[in-house]
Amino acid sequence: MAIEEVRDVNIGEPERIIEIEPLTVPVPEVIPDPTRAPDEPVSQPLEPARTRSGP
Amino acid sequence: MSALEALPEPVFSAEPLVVWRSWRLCLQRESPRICPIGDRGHPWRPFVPLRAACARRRFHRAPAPGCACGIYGLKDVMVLGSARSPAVIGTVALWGRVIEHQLGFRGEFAYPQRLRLVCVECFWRRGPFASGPTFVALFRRGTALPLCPAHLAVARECDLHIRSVRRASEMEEALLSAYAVDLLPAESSQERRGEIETVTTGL
Repeated sequence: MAIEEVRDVNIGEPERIIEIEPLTVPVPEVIPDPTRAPDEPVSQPLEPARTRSGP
Repeated sequence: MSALEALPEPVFSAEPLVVWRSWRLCLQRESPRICPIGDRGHPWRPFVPLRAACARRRFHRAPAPGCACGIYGLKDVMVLGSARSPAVIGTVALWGRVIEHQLGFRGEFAYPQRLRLVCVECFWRRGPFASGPTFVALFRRGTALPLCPAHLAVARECDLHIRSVRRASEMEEALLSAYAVDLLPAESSQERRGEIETVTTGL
């Protein structure tokens, strides 16, 4: 859960409440990468490969 | 009469609202992320809807009518010009409980739909679709600022502590890829206003 409170843009007075229950949540599905190990983070293209080796 | 009592009965919809928004740009483990304009905000997580909570730790569902909590979105892209240091503009889907205001909305859940990097100086001077940035200047603590060549030169003349500079096209592509969303096309603001209006009146 994230906190989001932006005060630098005044959006005026509240006018009405809308309850939206979307049939499809507008969030892209994560497509599993068959070459990815199970505990590896989901694909993030520019993220450099991290090694787990100790110092 | 409380703010909640003053509002009419809630209306119900199955279609998320798509509204305007701006963000800061930051790097998280070298990968670009969008962050709220406010200083306290954490990066929005890819593939995970953002859920609002009240910053004052009040025990109510966010957004509440008599509070300022919620995830903000605007009806008119031109109003984004009054935002503080926008580095990314775009559209965002809001759902769950959404409170409509005169100029925008506060939502319970959100996920970006389309994104575009903007040079903040060009944005303030010539509007949201004036021109795209060529470079992204990187600062300490993962702060990133898209800039056109002219304003990058100004930033260097002002001796801002730029750690490194990357190509904006590569950074924008990585940002879109990270959130699996499309580029916000550089259309006229009038056309984009119409799209938002259609969505809101369709409820």
